[in-house]
Amino acid sequence: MNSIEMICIKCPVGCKLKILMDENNKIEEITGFKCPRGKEYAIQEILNPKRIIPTNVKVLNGELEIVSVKTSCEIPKEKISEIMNFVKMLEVEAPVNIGQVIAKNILDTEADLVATKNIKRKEL
Amino acid sequence: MKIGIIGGGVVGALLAYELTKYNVEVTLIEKEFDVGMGVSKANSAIVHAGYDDEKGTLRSKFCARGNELYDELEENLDIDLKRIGSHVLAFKQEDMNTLDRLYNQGIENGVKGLKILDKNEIIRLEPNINEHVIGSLYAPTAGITEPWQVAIGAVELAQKNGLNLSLSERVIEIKTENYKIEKIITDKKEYIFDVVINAAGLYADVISNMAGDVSIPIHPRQGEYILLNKFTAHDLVNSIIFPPPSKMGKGILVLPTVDGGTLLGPTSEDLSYLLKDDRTTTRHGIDEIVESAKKLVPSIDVRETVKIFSGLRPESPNKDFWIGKSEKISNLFHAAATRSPGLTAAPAIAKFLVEEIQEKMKINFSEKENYISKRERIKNFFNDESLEKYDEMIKEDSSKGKIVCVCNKITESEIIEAIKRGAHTLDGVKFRTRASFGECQGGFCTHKIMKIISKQLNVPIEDITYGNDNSYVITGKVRP
Amino acid sequence: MKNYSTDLLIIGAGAAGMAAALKAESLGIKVILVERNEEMGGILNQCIHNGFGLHYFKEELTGPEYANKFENLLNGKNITFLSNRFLHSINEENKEIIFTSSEGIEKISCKALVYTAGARERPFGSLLIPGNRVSGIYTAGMAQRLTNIENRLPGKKALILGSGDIGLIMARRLTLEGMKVEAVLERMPYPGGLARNITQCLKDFEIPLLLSTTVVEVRGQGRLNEVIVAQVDGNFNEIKSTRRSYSVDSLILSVGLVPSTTPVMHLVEIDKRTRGVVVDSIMRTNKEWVFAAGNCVVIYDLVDYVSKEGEIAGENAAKYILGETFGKKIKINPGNNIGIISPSFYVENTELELYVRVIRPCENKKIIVKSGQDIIHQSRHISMIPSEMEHIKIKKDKLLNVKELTVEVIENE
Repeated sequence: MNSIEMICIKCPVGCKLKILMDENNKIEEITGFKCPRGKEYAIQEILNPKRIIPTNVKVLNGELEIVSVKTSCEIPKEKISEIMNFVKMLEVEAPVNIGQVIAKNILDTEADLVATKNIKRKEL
Repeated sequence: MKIGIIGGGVVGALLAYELTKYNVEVTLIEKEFDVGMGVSKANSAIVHAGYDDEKGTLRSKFCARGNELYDELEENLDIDLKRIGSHVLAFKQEDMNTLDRLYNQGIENGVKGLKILDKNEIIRLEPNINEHVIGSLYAPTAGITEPWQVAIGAVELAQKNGLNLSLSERVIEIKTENYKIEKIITDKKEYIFDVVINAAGLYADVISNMAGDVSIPIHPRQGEYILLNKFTAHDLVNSIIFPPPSKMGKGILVLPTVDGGTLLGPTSEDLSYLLKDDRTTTRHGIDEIVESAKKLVPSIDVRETVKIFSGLRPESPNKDFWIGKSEKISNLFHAAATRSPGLTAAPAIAKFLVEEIQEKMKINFSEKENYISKRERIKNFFNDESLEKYDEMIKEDSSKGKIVCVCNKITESEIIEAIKRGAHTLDGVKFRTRASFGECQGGFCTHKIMKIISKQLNVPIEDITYGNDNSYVITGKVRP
Repeated sequence: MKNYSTDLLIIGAGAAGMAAALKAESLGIKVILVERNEEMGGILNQCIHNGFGLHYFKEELTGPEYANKFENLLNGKNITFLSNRFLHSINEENKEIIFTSSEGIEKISCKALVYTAGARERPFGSLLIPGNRVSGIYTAGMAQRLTNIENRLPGKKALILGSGDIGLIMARRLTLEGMKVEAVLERMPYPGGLARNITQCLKDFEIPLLLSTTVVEVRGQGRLNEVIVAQVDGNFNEIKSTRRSYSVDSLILSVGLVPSTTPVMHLVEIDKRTRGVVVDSIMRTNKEWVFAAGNCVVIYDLVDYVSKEGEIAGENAAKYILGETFGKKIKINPGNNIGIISPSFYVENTELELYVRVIRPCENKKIIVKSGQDIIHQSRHISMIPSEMEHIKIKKDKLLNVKELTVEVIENE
């Protein structure tokens, strides 16, 4: 029987979660969450920690050289490096619209890479 | 007649300014990326009254006269000069005796308007001063300026009148024959001058040695400063406040800057001659400034600090200037060891040397016809123009309506003008326009200024530095 | 010179200004929203990370998405948006505000003003850290601007001073983009930012957080190449024997935001403690026609609070324009262990939303609000630290006929 403490990152409150594990490393009890997402987070974090990644993608012919993007849902934490290497190779042509899918199902994570900003085309 | 000036600080710049009034060919060689970036850049910016210099010294010969000449500089170079006066404070009777001594010395040196004030008078003029003050020596002719402006302005006017300016160029060898300088060799080219003037600041002894002269050794004396926010820490004092003087010098002061802020400092620490480039600030220096400044003005709050910096004075063993023709080398003149009150004395030193060169070299300079007598600074339209005029100006040039430095209200037009006048680094732009000098210290505007420099000079942003080559900002692109 | 006339002028189109504009317009008021940059959104445009909008829009958004939502809401409305306008001066007598633009001087006459100009970052100079004068020292906001908008990297190896949210967010940002962040230093004995950010920005990337540690010297020739750090005692004095050297070419500072009040410092009262504009519970300043909201009043933790306050300012500025009068102002005082309080005054017959920061961290303690000697509100808070704002709502029926209010932490129970 051992316990793990962690902070839920689902929202800025950051509830302090306590997870009790049994001898077979199965979750026995979760306490400390103020909403159901906290409980879900704890389970996910033990099994397969996932994160949303905010980053940038290169833009061609845009008013800015890069567009801010995020993964449409969480991706496995262990794949962050791999995903960043993938993102660094991407390019998108301006104009870019907020919500536009830049890349679908990146590296089989089921997450898309989605633009979070509008970038107009550069006037020549 | 070809005259070469080595060193583009205030002294070298004012020499160029004076000499280009005549029909002589003048060249100024400066090792930094811009003029005024050595000793001239970091000091108290004071135009001293001149009571503090002992009889018989070169300081006493040039200081009060230099003080007077600043009116001419203000007029011709369009620099800031505020004659706000100064007080040397006394806290005990022996201090009052010192004030009497300084008063008499000042009279001998030709200082005008000196007055000893009693407690009530000084407190009325300076209500924030430590209430234990018992009197002061008041010198109404003392003032403040911006020292790099003096160098920049003097060189710009000299350039209008034919000065050859060489920046980022370092003298590496001086060839002499029969105790006469034949050639100056720099890291870029070779020069032949009839007369050479050594205005090389902290390196004046190095230059002098290169010419085979017997040199006065120059070692750096460090002075640290704290600058307080001009919006929240202004009006602490109305004039320059000196503590009772000590052996180490004039002491740690509290004074306004022409920009409206408050400057505290300097400390005074002799450094090894090896450390001529060492402009570091130190923990003990900062603590000393805070302690001493609060003794003068107890309400000082150092949480209002925007910046700390350090300057180096070119100090000589006899604590006096090194001015005049070399005794050994027939065509070499020194304008060096211009430690305090060097900034003040500089215009007088320059005029003196112009006469001295003619006398010692047995020639007469003829005055230039079509001499351009004035130069204008880069105007700050936002603050200095009337609304109607400003509106017209923007309609003619839209870059005058684009604010780049939000703290000091500097427009894109001024940044471009600074670049046109020779700035190619962030410091070059900063010292010509006061952009990045404000509360946020470049937080909001640095990237904008870099983009403007990049566009104007067609250089990649990655190549832009603050000043010297290694002070780069960007290391690469996020997405190349 | 161009002249405009409007009911309400809003200076600053960030999270507070956009919310104020929307609210005021919904009450039938003619609004001009002015912004010194090209776009709306203020600092949100460079905050590309998540964490915005959970309260306000009930979904988790990145900064630019949050700004975009407001922009879309504003687009359909009868609001004039003037961008690239810089505040020149304010003529109090005839309520005329003058701006500079690349087309010339513009004068805007209004009946009321909402000032929502945000904050600036404390610069390196204000920390009084000795050493060489070097490049490579950035505030976190500047580093964020460079990496997220300008597409430029500020360095290769960094130390971050200050564990506030901006510092933590940048620790992750810079690491994701290929920089090596050696550590985050925090001079307090506890972290400055949200716990979630410690996890997702530091723990996730194995970046050490060194508490009770600060920078004591910076070194380099031209560019930074070494930073000396040391632990500090309870008075923030250096413990010399703990000095360590890091070989880095960048130092990123997250050492605090300061409300941007200089443009209005002669117009309205500024709080000496918070350095922000003094406002009451309807976001009004000491001038009846001038309102303020957002980071220029007090530094908030969440952008949602900023927008909420902007809404209150917009609403009450609109009411003022429509001729409504407001009740008496009652002072709100900080009591035991309360460092920051906003607003500074309660206006009778309004709802009160208090934002409070404690001075010393405490666990499981009560915050009470007293009217004179009577307790009119109490709430227990599990874990309070100065870097996390406590948000206390008190309904106006609890605040009838109140005297001077005091907010305090009960530490001895």
